[in-house]
Amino acid sequence: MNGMSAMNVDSGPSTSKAVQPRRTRKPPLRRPKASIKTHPKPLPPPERAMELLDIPPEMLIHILRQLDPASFTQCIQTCKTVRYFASTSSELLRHQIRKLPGLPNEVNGLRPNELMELFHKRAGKHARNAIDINADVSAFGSRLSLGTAQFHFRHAADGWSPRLLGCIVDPENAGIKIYDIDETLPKLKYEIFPPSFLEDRCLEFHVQSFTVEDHSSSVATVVVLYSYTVREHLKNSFIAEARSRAATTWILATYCLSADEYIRLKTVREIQRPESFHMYKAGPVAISPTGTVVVVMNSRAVPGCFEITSYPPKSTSSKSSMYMRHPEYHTYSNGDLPIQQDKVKRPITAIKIVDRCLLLNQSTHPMPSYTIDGLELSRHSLVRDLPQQNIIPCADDAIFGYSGIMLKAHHNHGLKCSLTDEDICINSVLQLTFRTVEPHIGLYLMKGWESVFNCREINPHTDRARLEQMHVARLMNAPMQAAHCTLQGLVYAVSPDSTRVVVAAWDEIYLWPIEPDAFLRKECGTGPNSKTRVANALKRKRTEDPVPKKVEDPDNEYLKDCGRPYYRDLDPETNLPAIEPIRLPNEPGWVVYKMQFYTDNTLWAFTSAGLVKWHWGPGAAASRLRAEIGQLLF
Amino acid sequence: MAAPESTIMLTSSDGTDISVERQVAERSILIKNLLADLPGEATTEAIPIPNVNEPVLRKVIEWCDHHKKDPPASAEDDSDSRKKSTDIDEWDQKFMQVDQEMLFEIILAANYLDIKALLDVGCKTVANMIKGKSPDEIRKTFNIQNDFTPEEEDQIRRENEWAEDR
Repeated sequence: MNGMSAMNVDSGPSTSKAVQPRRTRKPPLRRPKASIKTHPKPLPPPERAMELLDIPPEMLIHILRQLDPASFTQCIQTCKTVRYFASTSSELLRHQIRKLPGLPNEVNGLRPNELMELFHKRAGKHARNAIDINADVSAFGSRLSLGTAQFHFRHAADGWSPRLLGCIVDPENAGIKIYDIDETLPKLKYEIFPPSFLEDRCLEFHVQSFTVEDHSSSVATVVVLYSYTVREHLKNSFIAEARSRAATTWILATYCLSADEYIRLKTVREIQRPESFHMYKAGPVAISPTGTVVVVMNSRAVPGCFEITSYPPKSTSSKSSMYMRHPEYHTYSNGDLPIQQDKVKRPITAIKIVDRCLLLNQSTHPMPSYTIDGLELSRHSLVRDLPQQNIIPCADDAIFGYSGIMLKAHHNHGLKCSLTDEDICINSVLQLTFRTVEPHIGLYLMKGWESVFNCREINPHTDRARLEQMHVARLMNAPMQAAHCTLQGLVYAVSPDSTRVVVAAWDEIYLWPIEPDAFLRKECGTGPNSKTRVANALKRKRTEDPVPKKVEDPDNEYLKDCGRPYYRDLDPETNLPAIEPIRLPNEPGWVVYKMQFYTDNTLWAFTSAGLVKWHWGPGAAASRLRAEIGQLLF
Repeated sequence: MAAPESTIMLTSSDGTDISVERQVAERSILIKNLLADLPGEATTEAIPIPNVNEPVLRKVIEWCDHHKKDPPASAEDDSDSRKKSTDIDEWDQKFMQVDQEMLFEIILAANYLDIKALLDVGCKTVANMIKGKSPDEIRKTFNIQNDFTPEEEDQIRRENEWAEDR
């Protein structure tokens, strides 16, 4: 007989492999009598090894309790036995529902089948239904040129379906292929070539930059900035002059795409390169609803140095041709702009014109850093500088003049000012921010708000800078550490309803399901009260739970602890509500260049493997599709 | 067979007597209550553990010995839904590197002997084996037969799809 001396092993546990003899009878779960008179009889040897389904139901349920909702979803699809025990245990189902954000009040008193339905709904809403496993992945094409592709998305409106265009530049002929993308296949719809009257065999065009916008009544407006060179083998006086002009000018062309696949060339501008053009390279271009075209030139030598040139639209009264050799323009350089020069250290990689306001984005820092108002008024228009995000993300911090990627706005109408008893309204916006400096580098949700006495809704693109701001949640495990930093930077996308945020770092794609209303509307973000919280066990933990303290001043701004009852998990570093990501399935080495949601459960991306779609909505069954599209291959 | 005063004797289901420190054995609430109910002289006799065989009992005692100084578990602290199944102590993870049959035996023994912490560790270990796997992979891991009809599988898959809850 071995005594305890043989058992006192602290250096590490033993790893027994064989168990003899085996049993088939399950142990009683009641306590045995306090008697040691009877010697136990050895049990008969079992017929086979014990397996998971041989253990008592209460043990199986205890194991299922330990699972996260996504694994629970998978587990109950394995066999009837597991499904039966899971679907008939109200306590287990409530326990699993409690692991999902936003525990609804009506969970109390529901029957098991209703609880199961509720679990599936909430797991789906918060993407906890194992989309990391179940998502379909479809790849079209095999390779793309880096940095030559972009998406253009038009939101669904007035009964129209959402529309997604995928645009790729063909470096061989400076053509731009535009694919109409729906939930199934990308279809080649348009192909844009350099303006035909410029198309000469002696010229070789290159697309420096382009954009696709949907301001006009056409399907889309495309602006392309071409450079061109003159082929060396041709030598005559005309060619010599052409070569001279090619060295100092670029071509800025605007096209309209109609629904019947017709492409109309609208304007062609022959523009001067910057005086020290060899020091600059073309940055992004944009076009306003009225036709003003904006071109950004980034300095090659000085990081963050740039020039912005705007070209007014062609006058409608003008009878001149679409060709403009020396168009009117206004140029802004860093020195002209009343911004802090030390704030911008990276080139401008994306611009957008929204409501007469120009938003500038930097690479690896995907949020607007500056806005320029009144772009079409004069070159001395107001320029507003938004501070960079170098603040400590604390829930109680209030920051002014701070902005991120717009997610959702809310107008809270008909409130009473607690001090003056006047009628007020509250405007609030939820934004996504990338914090890139220590401490607490990461991805955050930030809420901005303002009280207004005159009922006026906020313009989320132009009014955010004046709002008071605070961090309200942290999107956990964002790939922003040094190990994730690549030349490609971070690529992000927000779903049309702002309930999904994805960030890609090289070939890793992380998705965070969020509920914006939980941070903007008190009735959505407030958790269950003490009467409706379902589990006694949870009641015992209530003192530790971040349930809201009783608010004496009802609603008003819904600032204190907003979203906390909805997202009960807290980030230990910042004490903010913590939202965990789901990693989407992706092949190693499929580098993500651009991403765009089509719906809240369909994501498209240009990757090194071509156009790739992830779908986790109805019908998703973890399928993997590889298809070649000839026109997509260069 | 008499044991020293600070030790007690346990008899496994296959008749093997194992000497254990009383403090170690009392990690089991069942044995602790049993000892409390017994008169003093009776504790010198071997206590039968009729549902746990020798190898499993030795593994359980090994775990109890390592954790003998742990504070008693607070009542019903499993209600904290924020705890993750991956939260297993490193030593316990190594301890649980056994074949599946032994793992399930340990879980049953922990349940029978009323050792809640060991029961949790065992269940979390199984949960970790399930985590991140598709239904097919779970079936392969645990040798589970898929007894759903194709129609039932379709129905279940639809249940798990995106559903609006607004």
